[in-house]
Amino acid sequence: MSIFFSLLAAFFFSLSHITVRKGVTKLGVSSGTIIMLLAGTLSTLLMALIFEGVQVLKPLNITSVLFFALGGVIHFLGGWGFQNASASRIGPVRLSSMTGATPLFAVVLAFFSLKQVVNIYILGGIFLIVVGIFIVTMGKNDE
Amino acid sequence: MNKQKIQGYVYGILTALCWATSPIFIARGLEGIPSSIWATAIGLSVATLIYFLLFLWNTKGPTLPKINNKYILWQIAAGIAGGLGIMSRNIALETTRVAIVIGIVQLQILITLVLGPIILGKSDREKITPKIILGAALILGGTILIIYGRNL
Repeated sequence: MSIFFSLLAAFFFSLSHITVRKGVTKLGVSSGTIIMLLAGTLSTLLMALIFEGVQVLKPLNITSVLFFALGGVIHFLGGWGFQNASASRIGPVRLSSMTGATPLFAVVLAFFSLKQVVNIYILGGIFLIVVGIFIVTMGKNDE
Repeated sequence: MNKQKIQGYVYGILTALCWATSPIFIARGLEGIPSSIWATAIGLSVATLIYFLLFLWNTKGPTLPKINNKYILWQIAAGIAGGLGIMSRNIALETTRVAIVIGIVQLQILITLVLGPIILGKSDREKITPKIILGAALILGGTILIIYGRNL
């Protein structure tokens, strides 16, 4: 099931990237981001209440809540903020080739913080993906 | 290379670092509250609240321009899809390693290449160059290798 949900995540992220191009060009980055964040927050809060209810949160584990909050802030405020700052200086194509290295950082960080080890197949797969993303973004730059 | 470009590359690396760090925190949080849906909802709520406060601070008040509803609907769709994407990623993180999930999620680049022209129309069609074909084959090969090697 984890593979299915990883592929589903890739599909939804892709859908989000495509639809955001339709909206954000007319709305501007700040207003567009707020609408996007509000829509994402309301829809996930609604799903959490419908599918899991508040019982799951009892007894409230503050440490976990802090980890979730940190995860959200780092992804949306840190990630998106640096993404905009980088894209305005080096352009989206070069930026994409750099963010393609995300899985490599994930391997190192997961090893040191969660003690998660990967075998040679996974490492090889990640290496191919990072090189593939670099070549695709360079190929788009050639057009 | 000028200072502006060096800053751009540093910010690019920091972007990748942020996107690699976020799932680590989510995975740690899931050890205490095993709910990927709540993990997504809490993370998004806090980020939205902080972003909204920063927005108000910078603009000295709510100044959303008058905009065509059609564009707002596209933006709402993007937000919901993004939320579902994060949620699916968090569900996957419950049962497998961070590196596997983040690796497979990179397939989004190929899906965008295929879905983009279908949703946005012919004007947005990417010109298929040999480099794009080679890169796509490597991304696909890498994903298959990760799926094959995850239980070995």
